[in-house]
Amino acid sequence: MSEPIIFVDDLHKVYRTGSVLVRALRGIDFEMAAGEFVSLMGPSGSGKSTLLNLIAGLDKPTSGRVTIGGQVISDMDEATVARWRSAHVGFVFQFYHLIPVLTAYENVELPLLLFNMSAAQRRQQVLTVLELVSLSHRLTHRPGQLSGGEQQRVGIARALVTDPMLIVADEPTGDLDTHTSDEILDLMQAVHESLEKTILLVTHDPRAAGRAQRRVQMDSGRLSVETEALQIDNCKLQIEN
Amino acid sequence: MVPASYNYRNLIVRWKTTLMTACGFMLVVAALIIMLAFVNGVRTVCAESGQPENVITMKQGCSDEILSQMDKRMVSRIEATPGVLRGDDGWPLASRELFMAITQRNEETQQYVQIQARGMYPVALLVHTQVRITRGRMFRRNHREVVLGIGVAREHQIHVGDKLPMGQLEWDVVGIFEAGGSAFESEAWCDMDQLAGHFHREGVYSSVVLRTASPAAAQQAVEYLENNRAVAVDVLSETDYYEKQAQQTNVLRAGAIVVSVFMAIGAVFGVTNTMFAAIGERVKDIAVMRILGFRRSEILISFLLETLLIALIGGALGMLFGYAINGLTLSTALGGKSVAFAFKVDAPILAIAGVFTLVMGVIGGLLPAMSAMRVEPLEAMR
Amino acid sequence: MIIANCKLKIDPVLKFLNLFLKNLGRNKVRTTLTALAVIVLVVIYTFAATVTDTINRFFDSHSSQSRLMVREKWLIPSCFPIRYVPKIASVSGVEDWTVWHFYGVFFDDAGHAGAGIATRIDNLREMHPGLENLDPALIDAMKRERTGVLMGQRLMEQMNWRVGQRFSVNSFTHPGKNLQFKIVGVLGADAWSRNFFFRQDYYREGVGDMDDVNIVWLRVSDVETGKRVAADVEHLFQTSRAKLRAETESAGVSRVASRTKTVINIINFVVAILLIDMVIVLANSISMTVRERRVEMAILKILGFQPSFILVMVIGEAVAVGAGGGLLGAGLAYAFTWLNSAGQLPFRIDFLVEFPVPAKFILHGFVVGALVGFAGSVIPALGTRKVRVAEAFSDAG
Repeated sequence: MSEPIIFVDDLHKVYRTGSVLVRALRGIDFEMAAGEFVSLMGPSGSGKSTLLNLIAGLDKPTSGRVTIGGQVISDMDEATVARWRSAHVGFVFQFYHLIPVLTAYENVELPLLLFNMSAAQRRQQVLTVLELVSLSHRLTHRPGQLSGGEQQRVGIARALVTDPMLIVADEPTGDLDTHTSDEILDLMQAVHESLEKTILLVTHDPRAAGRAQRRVQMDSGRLSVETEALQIDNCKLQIEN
Repeated sequence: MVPASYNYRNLIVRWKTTLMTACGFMLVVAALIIMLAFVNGVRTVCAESGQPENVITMKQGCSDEILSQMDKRMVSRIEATPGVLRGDDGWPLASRELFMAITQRNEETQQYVQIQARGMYPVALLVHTQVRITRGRMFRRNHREVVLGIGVAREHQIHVGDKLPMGQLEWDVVGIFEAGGSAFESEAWCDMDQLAGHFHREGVYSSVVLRTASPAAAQQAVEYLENNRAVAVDVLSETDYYEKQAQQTNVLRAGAIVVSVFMAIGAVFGVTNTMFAAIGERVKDIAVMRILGFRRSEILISFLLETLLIALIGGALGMLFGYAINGLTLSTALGGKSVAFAFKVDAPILAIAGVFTLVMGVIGGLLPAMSAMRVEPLEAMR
Repeated sequence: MIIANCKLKIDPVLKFLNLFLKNLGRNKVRTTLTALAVIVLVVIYTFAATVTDTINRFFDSHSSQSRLMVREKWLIPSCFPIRYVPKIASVSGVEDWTVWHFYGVFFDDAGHAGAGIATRIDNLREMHPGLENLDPALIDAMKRERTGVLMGQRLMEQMNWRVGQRFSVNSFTHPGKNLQFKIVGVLGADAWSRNFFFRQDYYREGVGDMDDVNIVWLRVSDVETGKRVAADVEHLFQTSRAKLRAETESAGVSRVASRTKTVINIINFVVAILLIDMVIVLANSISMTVRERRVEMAILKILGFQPSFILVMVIGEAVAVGAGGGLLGAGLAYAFTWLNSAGQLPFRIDFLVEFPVPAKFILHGFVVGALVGFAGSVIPALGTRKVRVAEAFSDAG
């Protein structure tokens, strides 16, 4: 296992809904090593989405720090963190969230528009990742013309295209049937293994969580259980049985 | 029937869009009413000014009193027209008048004020019977006195007892008159000889107005004068004369309608947009209603009703704003004259505005409602 | 992969154009309806603005401070003895002068009218704004032809006359004094398009009106001289039978302009309403668009696009629709009046012939449309700042 690249120190998050103060995170300490695949589980309202948002630099903590790759992202201002995010974090969503008017190719290309790259450079990169998710034959299709599984592959390709150090996946199989879910999880696992990506997977689904090297359980704003390095092969076996 | 409360609640939920769309309607309706009220106000002035028993004569070729100049000889011949009523003293009820637009520069502000003066003899009041002195008294013969139409008095804030500069001299304002909202209310009336003397127009008249017993008699007098080679005059019944003046507003009225129609088309596109968006958001609602057993026609009516509701809110607001202008007095150029008028919003104008509202609502709602009608329930629920 | 070495830089140009254009095409019905609304409103806006613009341009072209108008002090229409003219012209400071005799006519029984002006021909170009560039050959031709007229362009078109043609008129200002004319040339200027100029000597002989003149025009070197000359002229006739008023042309014009005030105000009011209407239609359309795309905007934010980019994208969309609609609307209005004037339409709206839409209004429509798009989209676009990234996630916990 390589050096840790994500440090979360005593993270607190309090926000207000109406007149109620919600203590979403109550002191989280958490680390992830480079190239690690961690799943984050927990019931609705346990704070896992909040944690995800803070790690991805989408929100600011009430107190505590998030350090990724040596940079304290919890201290960055919104514009800086947005640029940082575009280069270092890839996102995969439950509902794919592709832009309906753009083709598969253009959806994947979208994050690259934020970089100072030539069209040829972008093209090369986009084709590479689409090849990786086995969608080279669907370049000009729009999301509406793709199946759910295919859309999620486009989503994964979009997350990969900027070559980020961290991929955050939020219930990536939540909207898919069992068979397609397995395909997507296989793909993610392949991404983890062959590209050595660091992956944080948020899920309700124990089978999906089982694909990770390490499972983290959240409850009421605290980390409750950490299951160290489950044997992936065991998991696979269980599922197949 | 889909309950109207469904539509009503949805409008409330999307209140910003509802209000904005309704604002489009409001603007159209308000603008329409204000433009028509302007035209209507000016036309009312003209309609009030003419009396069908009166015949107005001017120098041939002059469409407007301001250009007309006649001499004593011609005027005497006109006065001899058969059918003209006679007063108690036996003289014909024929009012010789000298109409002049006098531009007066206010030496302090350097602003120009135009005073429209009408010189006349006492017989004028027997001819222009709609004129009533409401404050003060009539001017006296051979005195430098004027009575002001209520329109002038209001516009320039002049009261009985004030001085009115006309030409080199100041004239005493001795009375204020009303004349049923007619163009005369925009004039200053004074003694013929005083006016002519001061402006070197002795023996020159702009018009002669003849009083006859009836509209028919007036018509006969018109024909008599038209066929009389000895007097080269343009002759019209007073009603026709002012009707002709009113026709100058025809272009304005046509313009008002055209502008409103174009604005209405804009508003129709706006409401169509809104309703397409509303239906897009509620495809599932529609599907549920269809599954519950509502017929296509009921869906159509429901959404048409919703559009009409928006239209009515906008239309009502527009009428409210439009009506606010009712009675506002301004003055405008009409031919060579300037007349004071009051914006007049009346029932026909409100009716036109109402029809505009409904037509816009129906046209704007039809396409979206038809698309709502065509929603296939099972497909939409998927 | 290449990314790691690339410098981060948002390049706000062509590469985003695709996204932008596709967004426009997303809800084709809405974009079309919104654009149509803008087009229709800009067409009528252009007509209304043209009317006020034409009137204002007329007044502007007569706003000289170095030309003085001398007229009867009180009366409209002005009229005073011609024997005053030499005295006026000899006031020191007067560099040049001319006279006007009004001669209003009907050309036919259908009521086609024109305003004739009898004046000095030798300095016609120098004394009339807008005629400075008149062909000097026409002046020479007028000097040779006693009955010659220089016709306004609109009159020529209206009567379908040709240069060289003779015609007679029916005067309503001078009944029975009907002159015959020969067309020597056409005036190019817009401002005089309903007038015709002819020789003063022919007028005085033909009409037999030897005594009166309507207006005298004076040219002076500068504003200060103008003020003194005006005062001198007024003083000179202080005690005479007809008093005179001398004022700069711009002062005279502003007096006339005040008479059209009510109608101009109403047109301006309509123009304002039209603009507000356009803003509302666009704002409504854009806010619906924004509402439907909140999640997408959250995604863009998550992908690293700045809130300002999303703001610009929304505003840009509205500006594009507005500007495009404005361009088309103004273009249509321009084409319409042009075809209308040229008689290329199956009908002819005479009123619009008086107010041809100038070509510059096409650009004007474009700019107005863009501004309206901007005004209509600022508030909905600012609303996108409230889009929370959490809206993209499965669980709002």
